[in-house]
Amino acid sequence: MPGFQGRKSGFVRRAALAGTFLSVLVGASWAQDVRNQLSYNLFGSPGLVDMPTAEVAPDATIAATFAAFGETTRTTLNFQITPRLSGSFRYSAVAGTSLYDRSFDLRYQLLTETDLRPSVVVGLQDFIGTGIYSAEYLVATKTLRPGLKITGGLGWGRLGSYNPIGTIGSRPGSATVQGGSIDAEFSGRGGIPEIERFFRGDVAAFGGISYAPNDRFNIKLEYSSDDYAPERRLGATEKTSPWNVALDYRMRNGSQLSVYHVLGEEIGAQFTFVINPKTVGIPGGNEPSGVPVSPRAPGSAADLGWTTDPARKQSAKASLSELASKEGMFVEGLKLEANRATVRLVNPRFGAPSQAFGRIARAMTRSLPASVEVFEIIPVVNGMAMSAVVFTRSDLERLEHEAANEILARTTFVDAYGRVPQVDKGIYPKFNWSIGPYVQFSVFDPQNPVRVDTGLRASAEVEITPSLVLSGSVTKKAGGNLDEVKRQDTSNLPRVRTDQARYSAEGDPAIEYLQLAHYSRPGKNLYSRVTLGYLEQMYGGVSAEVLWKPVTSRFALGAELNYVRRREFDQLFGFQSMTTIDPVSGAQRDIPDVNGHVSAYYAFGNGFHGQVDVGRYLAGDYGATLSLDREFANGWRVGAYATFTDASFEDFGEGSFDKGIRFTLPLASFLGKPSRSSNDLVIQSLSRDGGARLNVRDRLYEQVRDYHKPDAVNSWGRFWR
Amino acid sequence: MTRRSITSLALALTAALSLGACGNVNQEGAEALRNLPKTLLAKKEPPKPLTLQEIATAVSSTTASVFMFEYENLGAQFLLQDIEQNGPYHTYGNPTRQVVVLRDGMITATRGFGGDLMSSEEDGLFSLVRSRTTGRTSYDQRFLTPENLTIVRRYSCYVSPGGSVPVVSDVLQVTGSSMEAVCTGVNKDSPDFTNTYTISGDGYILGARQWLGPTIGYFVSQALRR
Repeated sequence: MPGFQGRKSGFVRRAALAGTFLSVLVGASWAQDVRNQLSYNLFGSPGLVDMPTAEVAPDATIAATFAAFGETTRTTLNFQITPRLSGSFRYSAVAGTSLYDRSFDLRYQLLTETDLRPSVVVGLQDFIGTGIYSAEYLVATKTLRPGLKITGGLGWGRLGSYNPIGTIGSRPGSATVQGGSIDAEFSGRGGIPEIERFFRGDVAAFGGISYAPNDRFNIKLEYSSDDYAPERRLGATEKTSPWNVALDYRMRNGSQLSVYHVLGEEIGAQFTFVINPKTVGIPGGNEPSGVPVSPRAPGSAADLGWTTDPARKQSAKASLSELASKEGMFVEGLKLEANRATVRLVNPRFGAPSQAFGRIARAMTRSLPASVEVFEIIPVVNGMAMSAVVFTRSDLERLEHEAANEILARTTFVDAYGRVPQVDKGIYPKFNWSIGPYVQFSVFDPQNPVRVDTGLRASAEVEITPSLVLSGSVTKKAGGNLDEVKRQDTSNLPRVRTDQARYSAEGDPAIEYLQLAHYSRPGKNLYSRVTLGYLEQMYGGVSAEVLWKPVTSRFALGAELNYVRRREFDQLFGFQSMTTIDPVSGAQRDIPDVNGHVSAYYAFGNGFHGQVDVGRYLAGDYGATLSLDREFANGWRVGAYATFTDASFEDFGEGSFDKGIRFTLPLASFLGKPSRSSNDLVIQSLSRDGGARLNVRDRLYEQVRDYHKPDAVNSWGRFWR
Repeated sequence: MTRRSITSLALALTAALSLGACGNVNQEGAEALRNLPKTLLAKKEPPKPLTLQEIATAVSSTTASVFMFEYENLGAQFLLQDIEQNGPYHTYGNPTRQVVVLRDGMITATRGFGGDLMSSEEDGLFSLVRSRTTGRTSYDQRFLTPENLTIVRRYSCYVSPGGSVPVVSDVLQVTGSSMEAVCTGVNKDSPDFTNTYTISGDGYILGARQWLGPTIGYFVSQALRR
């Protein structure tokens, strides 16, 4: 049967030239209420100059702000977690100190704006951490006419420090700044919310007005209730006026460039870059179409003549393989019965599983004999059959031009255990390699905003069989300053992670990992992995994992057990003693050989995903890691995690416990065409020894969940794309 | 700064993180890096209209139905030929796999243009237009969002005689009755539009100007061969 491109003729080639003009990105329509677009302040929160407003960003907005005035710089990431709740992470150089301070904010919208009432937001600024910016506020903002907004609020803490109008109770142990360092006397080490301080102490009023005369500019004037007392005590800042003014220049995508005059003295500037996972990229992508369904002629389904003709079987299979490879996918096995075809599918291209299913199902209508009525597609990852997705050919024919949820209603997901066809001969072993530059970052640490290493990385992978994979990667440094971390922290735990700087300094060249991994399906709903070798930068050993996840379930359980050996600092083939010696105290401690976790995973179904890992960490401490992520159907993720173990806050050191925020950015959003690649960014608290896990590669859950029904359904609209 | 260059910038950041490498797998990052100068420096050349010669060659080189389209926002013209039929729906395509699905000349879906019309509920509109009947009907268009969710844009359309379809090419003068459909969004954020159609005596839409959503805008179509 002819493929999609089988009928090309002279003219369509020429027409294609005209066609290439069509794939350019067409700008989004200019929103009509752009004059009411919210503005970000110097803290990277919705606000005026330094003061917050009750404006709320559209759900899922991510705003990165770089702000500077005088000696103060603030870098803030703000994320609209739900339509009413937002959170910020901030990294600041505080004027007059040599330290970089990290802080977190939360804001919640109590009332949305209507024709009559203002929007009302309650906020906690710098509510964990060292507390230099610690403040709470209640603020209201009303849009009076297009582009004109008025704001008034009450502030506590820093926002209650100028001209207070009253006092509510007392605010225990405020942070003070002495001798060029921040002395967070209230909590000793920071990292814990100080609930007894919230909305206590002096309270002061603040407010302001903003006016956008057109789509491009926005003028802001505020009366600030922040006295900048710590900075002024250090002699780093003058303040002669509570009035601050600003001018914003707004870009088409919501980004903002601002200049300020603050404290009556200083000039400041700010850039805010705005991106939203829900709206970034080309809707639906601009990749080429899949092949159309080829409907069968009436009555042709009765012809079973082909079943006794090996040549016709062979040609059907060859035709399907060719169509699949044009889609960037591989049919590695096909079981053809009189009325049923089962495909073993490897999909390196499509991030949305539904699009892979849709394209291969349409290719099957064009290549398989007419009597084949049931299509069973089994995506395979690392030799593991992930799910069996079953369609009837008549449904595909009937519903091609209907809404995608109609075919979804006729699609069955079943466990693929024991159903997958054998892989064809001659495909394995497969060899993959790549050589390229790498950049390794360490950002936002207390001494230095950015540390970077660059170099060359070579990696290779041999898929000996579909489920037995030998892989490794070597790096050679070209330059950088990651090894200049001079800080030698004392640790009250075995030094499982605090020797990071030595590994960075001495590993050149370094074997990042070199491992043999075996994957299998030990039973129904079960998946397993055993990995042996040099597993990560600091440890080698054996890691074994098993995962239970029914194909239609949003819940999964896993267990992992690791036996580890500590690698030499040079990260070549050697191992070193598991006894660590503290460079400050000289204390000797042993890293235990065995660690591991049991994990529970749950997709809440409303875009949130939770995970709990309970077990023994690298340093031998017992505890749990809680993670919560907001996940988007296109693969974006924004989340946070925290680990609590029986290592005391004192033993853990600065930060009290391990916590971080993380982002996953799928490449497809930026390319405008399908891709399974993404970048993960983690902003972690200081790397300490408590709550540290082995960084073993290719844990099962992320591989498995993709092709299971709950995840596949999220982006099902791409089935006919 | 245009939306396009901002997207390119964001791409630059991401690509730098994923790091284009050479090898035999996962080349998207590398490809994006390689194409980056082109993306950033690309000048927008005005698309050339198809010449008479191109159109004549096209029509004579196949016996299948051929349509000519104009992408109004870009001013680009292109030809697609009938490659598959499923019930009343004919899929028209080209070798770069851009696709328009037509039901007797009415566009019901597109693929490969970015912001594609995924499918529509066009029965009511189709029957009024092809029978040249005045009346009101519902009409749904389905799209994907950048997040990969399906959104339905629901319209109420008033169909009546009138309007005229812009002429894409003088090669073939389209004659027939003119109908227009004035469609009002039922959802607040669905922009209103007006489609116009030229219909043959037997109810086939020979030419039309049809709205395909906020990303694409209007396509003008003209049948070169039914």
